[in-house]
Amino acid sequence: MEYESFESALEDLKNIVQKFENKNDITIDELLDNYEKGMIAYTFCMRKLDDTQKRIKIIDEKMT
Amino acid sequence: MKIKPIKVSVLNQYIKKYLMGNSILNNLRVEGEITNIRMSKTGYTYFSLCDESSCINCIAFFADSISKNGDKIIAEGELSVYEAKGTYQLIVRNIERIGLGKILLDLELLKEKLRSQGLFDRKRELPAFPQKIGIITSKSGAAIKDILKTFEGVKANIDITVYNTLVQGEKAKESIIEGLKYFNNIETEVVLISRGGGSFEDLNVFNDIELAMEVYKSKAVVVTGIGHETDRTLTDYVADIYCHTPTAAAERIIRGYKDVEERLNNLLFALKSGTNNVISLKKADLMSTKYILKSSLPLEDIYKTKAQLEIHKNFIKNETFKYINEYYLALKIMGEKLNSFDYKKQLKKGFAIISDNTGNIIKYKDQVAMKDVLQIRFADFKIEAETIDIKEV
Repeated sequence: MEYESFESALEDLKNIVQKFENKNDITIDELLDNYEKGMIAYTFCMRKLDDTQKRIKIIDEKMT
Repeated sequence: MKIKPIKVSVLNQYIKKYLMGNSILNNLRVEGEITNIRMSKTGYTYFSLCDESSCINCIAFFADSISKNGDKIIAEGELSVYEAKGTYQLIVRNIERIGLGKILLDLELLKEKLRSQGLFDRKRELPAFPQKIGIITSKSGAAIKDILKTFEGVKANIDITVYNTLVQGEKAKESIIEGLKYFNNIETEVVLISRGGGSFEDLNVFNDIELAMEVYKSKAVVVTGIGHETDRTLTDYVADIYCHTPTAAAERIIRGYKDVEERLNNLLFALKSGTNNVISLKKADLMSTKYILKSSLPLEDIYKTKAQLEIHKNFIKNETFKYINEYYLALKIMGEKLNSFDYKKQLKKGFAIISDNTGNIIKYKDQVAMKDVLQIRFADFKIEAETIDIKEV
C-alpha cells in the first residue's frame, strides 16, 4: 500500500495504535494485519522524514 | 561836416561783414529754451531760443524731430545776418540737450492718462509651454544673441521667429508696430519686444503712444526686455510682462520648460528613492522572515516526529508480541492439560503424583523441606501429608 502523504500515513499509524489500545480480544489475522499495516505506515513516515532531512541539509548548504 | 549817407543794403552788408569777422560770434554755444519751433517743407528747423528776458531766432539746416517747445538746449553754431530784413539769427549746427524736464513731464502726464484708461492693468499670464514665440528686435543688436542663447537651453521643440526691426530713431516705431501686427496675424502666442541698453533718447521710441496702443491691442502676450538705464517706457507699462534685460525676458518666457525639467528631476529622484526605500523595507521584512524560518528549526521537528514514530512502532510491536505471548502461554497450558490426561492412566496403575501446596510437582530433594505439607495424588483420591524425614535413596 502506497500513501499519498506523510500525514495520511501518520494518521493510519495512529489509528492502528488506537486499535491496540481499545481492543482486548483480537484475532490472530487481525493482529498480523494490523502489525503489517502499522509497519508499512511507520516505514513510509520514516522514509519521508529521512528524505526531508536530507533535503533540508542540502538546501542549507547551498544557501549559506 | 555831415557824414555821407549810405544805403540800407550797404549798412546791412557792412554789419554782416563786421559780425562775421568776429571769431567769437563764429563759434557760439548759446543756452536757452526752445519756443515757437516749426519745420519747413524743405526739412529745416526754425525756432527761437529764449531766456527770461531775451530771444534769438535760430535756424537748423536739418530736421529735428526730437526737440519741442520748452526744451532746454545748448545750441552750437554761428551768428548770421539776413540782409534782406536786417535781422540776425543763429545758424545751429548741433543741439545739445541739457534738460529733458519738459519731455519727462509730458511723458509722465501721458503715463497717467494711459494708466487711468486702464492700459497698464491688463496683465495676462504667459502660457506655461509657449510653442510659437516671436521676437521683435534688431538682428544686428546685442539683445538677439542673449535671447537666442537663453532659448537654446530649452530641450523642447519651440518655434521661434525673429522679426528684424530698427530699435531706435524715427522709423523704428513703424517697424516695431509692423512686427507686432505680423506676429498677431500668424497667431503667435508670445511676442518679445527687445533691445539692448541705451540712453533715454535711444529708448524713446518705446515711449510712443501709437506703439503703446498697438501693444495693448496685441492678442499675443507681450513681454518686454528693453535694457534700461532710465525709467520704464510706456511700452513696458502696457506690456503684459516687463523685464529689465533681454536675457531676463527670454528666461521668463521659457520658465515653464525649465520648471518642467526641474519637476521631472524631482519626480525621478522621488521615484528612485521611493523604490529604494520599498526595496530596503522588503529586504528587512525578508530578513526577519528568514530568521523566523530558521528559528522554526525544521530538523528539530523531524527529530521529534521520528521519536513519536518510534514510540508508535514499539507500541505496536510490544502489543503484537504481548498477544502472541498470551496465545503461546494459553497454548502451553492447554498442552500441559493434555499431557495430564496421560498421568491418569499411570495413576490407575498405582503411581502417585506428589506436589507442593502451590501445585508444583516434586522431582528433586531440594524442593522439599522438613514439615512441608505435600499433596499426594492417586487415581481416585489424594492424601495431604507432612514431611517428617528426607533421605537420599
